[in-house]
Amino acid sequence: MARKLSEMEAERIKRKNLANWLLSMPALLLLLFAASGPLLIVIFYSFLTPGNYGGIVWEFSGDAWFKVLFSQDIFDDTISLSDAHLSIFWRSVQLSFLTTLICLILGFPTAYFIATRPPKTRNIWLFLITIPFWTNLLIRTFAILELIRNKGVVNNSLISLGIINEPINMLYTDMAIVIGMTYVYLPLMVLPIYAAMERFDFRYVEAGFDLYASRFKVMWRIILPIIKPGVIAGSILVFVPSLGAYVTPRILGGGKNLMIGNLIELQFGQGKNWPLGAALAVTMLLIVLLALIFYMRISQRSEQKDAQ
Amino acid sequence: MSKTKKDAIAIHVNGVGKYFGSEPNLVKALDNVSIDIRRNEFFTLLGPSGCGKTTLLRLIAGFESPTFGQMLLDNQDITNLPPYHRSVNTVFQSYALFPHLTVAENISFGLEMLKKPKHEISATVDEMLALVHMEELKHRRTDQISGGQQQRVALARALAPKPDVLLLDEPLSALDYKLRRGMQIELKRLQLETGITFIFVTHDQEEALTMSDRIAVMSNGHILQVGTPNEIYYNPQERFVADFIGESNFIEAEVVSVTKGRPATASLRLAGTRKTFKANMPASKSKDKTATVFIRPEHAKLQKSTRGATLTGTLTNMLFFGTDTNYHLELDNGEAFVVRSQNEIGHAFHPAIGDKLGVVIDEQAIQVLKD
Ligand SMILES: Nc1ncnc2c1ncn2[C@@H]1O[C@H](COP(=O)(O)OP(=O)(O)OP(=O)(O)O)[C@@H](O)[C@H]1O
Ligand SMILES: [Mg+2]
Repeated sequence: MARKLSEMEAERIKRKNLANWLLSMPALLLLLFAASGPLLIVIFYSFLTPGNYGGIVWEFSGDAWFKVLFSQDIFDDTISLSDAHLSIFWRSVQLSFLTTLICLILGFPTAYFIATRPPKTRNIWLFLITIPFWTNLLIRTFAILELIRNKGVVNNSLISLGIINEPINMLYTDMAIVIGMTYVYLPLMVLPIYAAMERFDFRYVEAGFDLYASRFKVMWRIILPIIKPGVIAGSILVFVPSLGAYVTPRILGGGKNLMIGNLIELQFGQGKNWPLGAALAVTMLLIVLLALIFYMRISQRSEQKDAQ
Repeated sequence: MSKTKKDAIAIHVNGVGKYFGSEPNLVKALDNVSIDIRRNEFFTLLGPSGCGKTTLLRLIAGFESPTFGQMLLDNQDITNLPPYHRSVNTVFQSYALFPHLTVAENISFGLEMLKKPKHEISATVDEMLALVHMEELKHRRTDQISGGQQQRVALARALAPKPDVLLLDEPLSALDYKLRRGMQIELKRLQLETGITFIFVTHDQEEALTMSDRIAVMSNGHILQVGTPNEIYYNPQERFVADFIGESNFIEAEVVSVTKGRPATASLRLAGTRKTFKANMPASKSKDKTATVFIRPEHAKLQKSTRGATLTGTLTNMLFFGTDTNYHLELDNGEAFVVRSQNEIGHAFHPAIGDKLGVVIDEQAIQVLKD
């Protein structure tokens, strides 16, 4: 009897799964064509030969993939690791990581602040957070440039306050890129953390205090673990576009401090090497994937540690 | 635990008030409340919904600071001490179990915060799990257990650090009757064994009467009366207390004369009858011409004949309770009166609705209320 019942249950679940598949078909098809289609084209292009004036020639070549990691000396044909590309990859990862970290440090207290306001005022704060989205990215980036250049607002006011004598050279440095990306992506960190925080039941905080947890312990052992999904979502939302950022490093990095996005753009533009551009784009995708897997591993491990 | 230590005051609440909001919407959740709760006492706060029970617990726990007044824990002023520095634990009305932790982790949380050694923590956790019969669900997440199980985990979590004072906000309300009975006995045993002072909130009067050393009856942010279950049941001072606990008859009486003394005694006539009774008179009523008198239904006796009866009336309804029957009468002056009497085997007295019956009331059963 029991066996039969469990079989019936399995049957029921199977039928339900089939219905779920059928119902999600339209969305799946859309995803398949709209998301995977362009991606497949990019992957396909990365295995073709570059045309002389840009574009591609329909001829198989692994050259682009070779060039992503290696370079061949034009005089003696010696093969070496492509320092230029690798250092750009590494810088991109570093700067994106730094940006994510700073966004987290700034965004968490901000989200906490908003979530602890009375419900009526919360919406006003959220509204203020989203205002920067209303202006074009380019204009916002130029505004940052205006703020941090040597004769800009920040340096001028620091000098007139007598805090520094010489202007701090910020523009066209990695710092400028990080400042710019932090500014641009901060709302993407605040919003998911806020969403998690808003659902957070502050009675857990009282229960924590009741059980002798200090403010720090309550934050570390209760609030953070419970809103972790929001923190993870925010970090991904900041890290991924930072890695592919193009406008910000171009303007604030002054063209000297490239990131992956600029490198890819270069191949499709001046470099006239579409397959290499495509291969670089796919490489970036792989880096993002690796970073995500790494991130998941870490957060899973900390969960296991919590559970002990 | 020596006798003197047991009688010492654990919590001293002195003229405490808690107001929420501001003027047009000012809520006086507590107004000028003073109580002394003794060490290792099972002290119950009893009152209807919204009377301020939870608010008083929250003040003692330290989640809220009083608008005015002072609180002492073991003679130390705790009025403004944060909750994590008070040796007070709470079983929350909403449980508030940590959703990211398992049952066992919830229970060990307080011990970890107190930096107890590892082996001690795991021993205490096992002890607590056994106490609330939750050993099997040790590794379950708290959102995967039933409401009653959550309540038991909340209890174990609050008991584990062995606080001086345990605050329990309706901890048994989600349990079924049998489990509830079991937990009541278990709680009582724990309180006697551990020497922890229990402050227990309930609006179940039966639970309050059976478990408490003393009860405080609250209404509208005030404490109306504090006393042992016996005092509260037999000598309620106010109509609200008498009405809230058990069943009561209230009868208007005429004050014939008052004899001064401590306490003053009055001679009274009930509901327009001629016979006079003597009863203690509250000081505040000594000048009044009428008084409200209170009589428990089980303290009145029903008889077939109206002769020699204190009151007479017509039977309007009978409610059978197994061991007892409640007889509802309409007295001659139109007031309602209930007599509760035990059902005995072979009892020859079987009145029918509409019968004219007599009620006999003993002088000792009559109590004059303050209001
Ligand atoms: N934070 C608050 N803001 C405003 N009013 C409040 C607040 N907390 C409680 N009150 C009010 O104070 C009064 C007492 O509330 P309290 O929670 O102490 O009642 P209670 O006796 O515990 O009731 P119950 O038996 O329903 O739990 C109620 O009228 C309630 O509406
Ligand atoms: Mg309550």
